[in-house]
Amino acid sequence: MKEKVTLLLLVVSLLSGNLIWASGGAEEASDSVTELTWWNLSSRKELTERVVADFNAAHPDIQINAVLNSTDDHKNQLMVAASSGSLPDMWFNWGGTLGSFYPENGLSYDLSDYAKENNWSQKYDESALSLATLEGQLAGVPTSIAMIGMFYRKDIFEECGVTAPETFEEFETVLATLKSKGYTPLILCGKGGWHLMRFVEALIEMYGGSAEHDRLAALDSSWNSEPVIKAFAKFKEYVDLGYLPEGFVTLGGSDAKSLLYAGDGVIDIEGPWMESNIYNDEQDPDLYGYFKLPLSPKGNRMSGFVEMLQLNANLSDRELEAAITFIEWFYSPESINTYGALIKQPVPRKDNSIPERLVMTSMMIDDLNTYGSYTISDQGLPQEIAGKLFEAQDSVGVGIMTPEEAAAFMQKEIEAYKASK
Amino acid sequence: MSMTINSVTGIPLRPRKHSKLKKLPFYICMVALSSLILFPILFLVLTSLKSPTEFFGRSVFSLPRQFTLINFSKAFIEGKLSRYILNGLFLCALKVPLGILIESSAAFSIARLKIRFANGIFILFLIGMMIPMQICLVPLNIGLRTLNLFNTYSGLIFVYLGFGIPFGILILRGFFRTIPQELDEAAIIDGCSKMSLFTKIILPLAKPAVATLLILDTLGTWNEYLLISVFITNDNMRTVPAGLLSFIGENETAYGLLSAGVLISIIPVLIVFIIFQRHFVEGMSGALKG
Amino acid sequence: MHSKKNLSGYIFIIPAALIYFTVIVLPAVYSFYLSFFKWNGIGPNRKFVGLNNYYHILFEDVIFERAALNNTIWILLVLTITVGFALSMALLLNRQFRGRTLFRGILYFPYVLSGVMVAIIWTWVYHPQLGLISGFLQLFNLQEYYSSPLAGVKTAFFAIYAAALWQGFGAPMILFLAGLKTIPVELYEAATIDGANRSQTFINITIPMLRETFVIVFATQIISAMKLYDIVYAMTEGGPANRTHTMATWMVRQTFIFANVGKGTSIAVVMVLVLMVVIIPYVMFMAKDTGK
Repeated sequence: MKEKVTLLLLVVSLLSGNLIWASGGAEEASDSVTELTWWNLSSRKELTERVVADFNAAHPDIQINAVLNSTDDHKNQLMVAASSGSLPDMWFNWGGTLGSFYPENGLSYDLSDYAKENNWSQKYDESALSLATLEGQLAGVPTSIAMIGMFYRKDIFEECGVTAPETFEEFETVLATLKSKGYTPLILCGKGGWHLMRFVEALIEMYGGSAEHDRLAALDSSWNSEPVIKAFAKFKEYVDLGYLPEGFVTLGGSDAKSLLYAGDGVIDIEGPWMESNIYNDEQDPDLYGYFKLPLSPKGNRMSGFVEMLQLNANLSDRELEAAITFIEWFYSPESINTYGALIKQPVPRKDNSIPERLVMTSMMIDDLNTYGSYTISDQGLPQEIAGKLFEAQDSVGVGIMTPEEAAAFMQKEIEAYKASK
Repeated sequence: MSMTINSVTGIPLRPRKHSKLKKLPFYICMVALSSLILFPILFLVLTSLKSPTEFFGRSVFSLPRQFTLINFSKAFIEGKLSRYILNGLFLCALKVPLGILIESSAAFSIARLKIRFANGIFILFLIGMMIPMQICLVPLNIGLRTLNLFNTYSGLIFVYLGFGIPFGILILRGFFRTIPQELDEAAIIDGCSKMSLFTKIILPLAKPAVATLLILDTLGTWNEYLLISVFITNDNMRTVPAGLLSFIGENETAYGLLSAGVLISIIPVLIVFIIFQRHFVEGMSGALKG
Repeated sequence: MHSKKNLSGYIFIIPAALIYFTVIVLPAVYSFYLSFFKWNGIGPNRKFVGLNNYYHILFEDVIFERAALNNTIWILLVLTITVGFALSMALLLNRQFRGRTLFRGILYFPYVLSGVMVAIIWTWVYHPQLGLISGFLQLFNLQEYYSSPLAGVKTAFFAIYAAALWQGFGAPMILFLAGLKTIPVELYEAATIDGANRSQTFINITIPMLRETFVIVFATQIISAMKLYDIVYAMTEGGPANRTHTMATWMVRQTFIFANVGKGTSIAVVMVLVLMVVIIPYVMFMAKDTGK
């Protein structure tokens, strides 16, 4: 009997507890308020929460509800939601093959017409709009653009008597000098693949030239070819020379940062977020400098990618307007001023101004405009092939594949992938 | 033999005054083992007391030059850990007892009631443990949304109960079987109903098993992350792991906050463990002797 | 066996059965069905391909083969080292001594951490520059002889296991402890009077009396070794060179990143089938006779 009472109590408390909690979260649905759900990364929690609170207060007719998840869960959950037909109204996404799944399957709103009608070419940077154009659709609103460059320790460069290189040969001399002075010259980290990939893809750009690199990325050219072999071989050469940190294949992105901060490593391959990190981690900004990795005349572009907000394909006109109102407000000069360092720069809008202290970010933008860009490999290649590239890099790095074997391996996997599609 | 403790079974053979000296090697052994196990925790403690600047300094074993509790307050307030901890306690308080009730009643039936196909039914439940959770996400997501249970604790607890059932039944059935069958027969002859056999005789005797399951299940619910992050999108309803993972960024990890957060978040489960480990140790021995 | 109708006994199972059926059985059956299709999880382009997905993962997918080998290695490690260690610790802690509760708490402590947290701590322990081991060797100027085991294609998986052992022996230990408590002290007293020595009582009394506990421990350990996911994912993401994938990490990658729902579900089906072949006969054999 006692058990039955307990059971009953439990059920009652379960239901009532649920009511209390649920009613706390659910808003009154009224006709005059447009509700939008927005999925974002939990690493941007502070910004998201502030933006949502401020925007909702300023716009009584629109209600934004934010949902935050860590990077990997965000990816997985978008897929779960896509499969069960429950995608949110807006979600953060990367460009390239990560973001293209949604336009490809008609899940994201094609903004092409809207952009044309509203003159987005006057409002957004052209390069960002083209990176956000996937499967022939404008698949999202570009919110930030990133390009990959080299961040280095000015103090150590000075101590070793070297300056930022302007040619690849000079770059190699710098590495050799730094090594001879007992430093780890080049911070490349293998965990997850993408940090190491930034360097390998730059080498492919250099040895193959821009045109060939694009063909390789599109899987139109054979990877079992000289540029790829040379790129892997150069990377392996650096590993053998001890240019990379000890145990580099196991290190991740935050390790790269700590090696640079600790002054064990000297040159780190990163995007503009690195400059914000330097401030957020209370490091002395005067110690750090930036240079574009100099490659070759035939291939000298930078690796770039875009981040965007994708909108649900099923949005009604009213919801679409509300979403655009939100995005316009979010990235307006006033908001950028208000939220400052929390907003990931550079925002690819013509009216954007980079905060003055972000000197290196401005330099990177200039370089991007000068040298142009290619889509970063983990977004340019199909996800399965990007996974194979990571495997090839690691294998060459730890010496279980020769550069020739790695190139042949890539081509074999690409053919198998194509056959399966 | 002069040993007072049977070192294989650990059972005291005969109460006898023993010299402290003889136990010394044993204690040295235990202390060494314990420090080996606690050593990595040192990392959490040291890191939680350091500011980012200090964390990126060189030595691992360095004590923080300036002790700072900022990570703890930040994790607790900005990281909203206070809210997450309350939610976690609420979920555990509902899910764990309810789960044990449902599981023990099923296990009771399978282990003691001599029903037909008992083994077959048990195996069917057992298979559930083998199914990877991830593969059920999409159908469950559709189901919960259709039933309007998405973003509710009722829905989440329902799913938790489902995934907890196989393990609970496995554990409880095993322990129920070690209780002598003669007890049941005697009880039935005394005119005891099945219900009271379950609640008055078997459950109390299975106290160690119930306490064990309670500890394991509380931990599981407390640390569960995959399901709650899919089925609860309202941040105010999430639990501790979600809060901790938000300290891990795309390109960086806030180690100080994370360590502080981990240290704070293990306190409640540690308390549960300390309370209930007593029960699972005491429970049985007395019952069987008496 | 029992001619008497005993339907009322089933009533106790109904709540569990209903919940179990909706939460696990239905979704699992649906996934099983999907494993015969080539599908990206969305949209109408669902193509029936028969056993192609199974053929692909079993005979063409090198990473799946590595993953399956890794799971096998893990199962062997867990059944020998983890279970052995847990049992010996349980025996130690089952003695009467001062501070027993404290030591029990300490030994069990790592188990309260979630897999992701353990991964973070141990990644730091192994860290080639800033880690605990390298820092320790630095004190003796031996740092140059250290290379992170996570960085080696042959050692990485074992390095993850060491972390999992640290965290995971607490659960079987606690189960063994609870099991030891169910052994009547009289049995040992009788055996001692009969002149049995320590190893004889261990083999003839402790082990047989722990039979049910062993069933639970072996079954749960094998199953969780097969489903091994979070600690591996958080420590290496399957790297270096895709050498530390497990079936579960590879399944999640196939399903949620590559959008190969058919391949992902067929990996899950293989996992379940292998487990059924291993676990069910074992449990049935052990369940046949309780020895009472």
